Amino acid sequence: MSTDITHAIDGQADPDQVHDGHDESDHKPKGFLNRWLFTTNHKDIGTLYLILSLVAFMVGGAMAMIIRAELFMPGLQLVEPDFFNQMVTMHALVMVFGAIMPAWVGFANWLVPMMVGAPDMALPRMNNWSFWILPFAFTLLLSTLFMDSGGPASGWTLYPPLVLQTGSSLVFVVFSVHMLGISSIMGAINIITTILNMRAPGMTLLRMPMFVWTWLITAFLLIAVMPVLAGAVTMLLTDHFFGTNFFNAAGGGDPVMFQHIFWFFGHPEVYIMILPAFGVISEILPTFSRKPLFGYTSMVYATATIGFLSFIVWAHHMFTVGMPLQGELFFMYATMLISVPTGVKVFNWVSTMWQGSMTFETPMLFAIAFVVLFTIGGFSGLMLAITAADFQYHDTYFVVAHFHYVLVPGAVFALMAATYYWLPKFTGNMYSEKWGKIHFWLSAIFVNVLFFPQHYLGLAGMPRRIPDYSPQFADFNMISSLGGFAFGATQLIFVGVVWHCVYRSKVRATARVWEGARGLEWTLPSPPPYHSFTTPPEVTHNMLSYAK
Amino acid sequence: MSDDLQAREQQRKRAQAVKTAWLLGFIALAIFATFIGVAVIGR
Repeated sequence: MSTDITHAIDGQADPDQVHDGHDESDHKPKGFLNRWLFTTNHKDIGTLYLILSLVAFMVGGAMAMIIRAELFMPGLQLVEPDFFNQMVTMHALVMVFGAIMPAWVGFANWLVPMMVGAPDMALPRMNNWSFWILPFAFTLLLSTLFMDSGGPASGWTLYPPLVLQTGSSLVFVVFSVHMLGISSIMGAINIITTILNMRAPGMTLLRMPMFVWTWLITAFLLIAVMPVLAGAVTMLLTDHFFGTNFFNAAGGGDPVMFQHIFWFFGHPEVYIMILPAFGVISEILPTFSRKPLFGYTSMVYATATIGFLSFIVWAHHMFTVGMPLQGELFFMYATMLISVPTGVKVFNWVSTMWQGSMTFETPMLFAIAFVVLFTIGGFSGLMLAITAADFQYHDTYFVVAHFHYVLVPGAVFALMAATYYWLPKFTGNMYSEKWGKIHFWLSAIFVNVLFFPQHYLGLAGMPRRIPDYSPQFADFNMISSLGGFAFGATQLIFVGVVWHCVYRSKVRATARVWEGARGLEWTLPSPPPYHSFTTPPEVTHNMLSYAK
Repeated sequence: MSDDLQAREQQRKRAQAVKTAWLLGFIALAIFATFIGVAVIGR
């Protein structure tokens, strides 16, 4: 059987005829609760993560619509300033911790065991626990909006002393952050142990797909920095409720210390959201270019280098707090250094496409848009890294434009690409290519209408996190809001395409789905059996077209 | 590989995974404790 799989991957056998020999009638647990609440199956848990993430995207997106509606015109229109600040804070927390991170964990759950030839995650019960903590954490976090003291209104950075004015709901915010952290750490432990311990025979580290590599490094980042965030918010809690003075200057504390601790978590967090995206793009571009990934080994080392550098650049978020000049220089140069491994990646992606037999299905369109638009976000990041210039840009809409370019046409577009790429594998049905392309083009146009004008607003001096602004900023804000409403509405098409693919599509997907796809997951039928690779495949040589 | 051998191999892998998980969990707890500890001592 393992021989069949080897042949299938080499293209010597039809993968549609090949699976791991398991009965397709499956052994799904009977009953709704048994299937979903008590599940230990990596595919089911992956699905739960992806559903939660989609819901969080809708909730966080609705908050973004409120923000853009308020900013449509100068003056206070729709909401109170304090509620506006709560929306800004919650939009970020929901999108970061509820949408993007769980979406990547969902894809990791689905794909990592199949990609490394394992029957499931290494620790399936802990996997169940990791997921089911999340809905409770989010309910708790969102419930603060309905409490007397309101939700946190300090921005997602939770800087003291501002955040300490939150009132009694702060305790719920801190508790939910603790739960989110515990869930992330358990998820990361599961992914690391699966990759390090559960690989099929012959699946050496340098034969692993790039998505697995990027997730391995992401998981190490998570374990290193989530406890730091937990420590920071615990100290906020004791400052607020138990009379400690960690960050209270009047009591001998230092609010800048919180900023250092927060950003020691916060900057690697950015890479936690984007490294899996790099992995996805490195899977999709070779498939639709019908060429192996250019520079696989250098991609692995570049990812590891980015992971390492992410720990030594945190203070570029706080150039204006008054650090010693030597410190500012160190963090400026360290930050600029990240552009080297990132440049390696962009070069390799372009070289992968170079002279390839390219076709432009929806996943490929999102992947190409990612390369172009993420690079714009990278360049504006380079501008922000220049200490002297950052004194001008700091806390303006230029920063908002920068990180939204990295996270929306960056991480979110990669998530869209991944969904279109693997959804036929997950469901056994093809999505509507026509509607996929409509979704792509509208998203690609409106994401730029939404975020590009914010560069100009920032350069002209408009501060971030304000509900009202000077009339000179009116035109670009109106354009940005219109782009925002259109981008938000466009995502309803995405929900429709996914729903149609899962429940209504009559076009069945083949096992390989895409002509140029390589990797163990494509050797399984679409959809894969409930328990896959119960007999481990033997990866005997360069079957993945990736490496030596 | 016979079914018995495969089952034993899976068991061995999972046992090793549990050990790795404990190690990673302790590292996470140590980082948490270190940051709080350093802040307490620093104050």
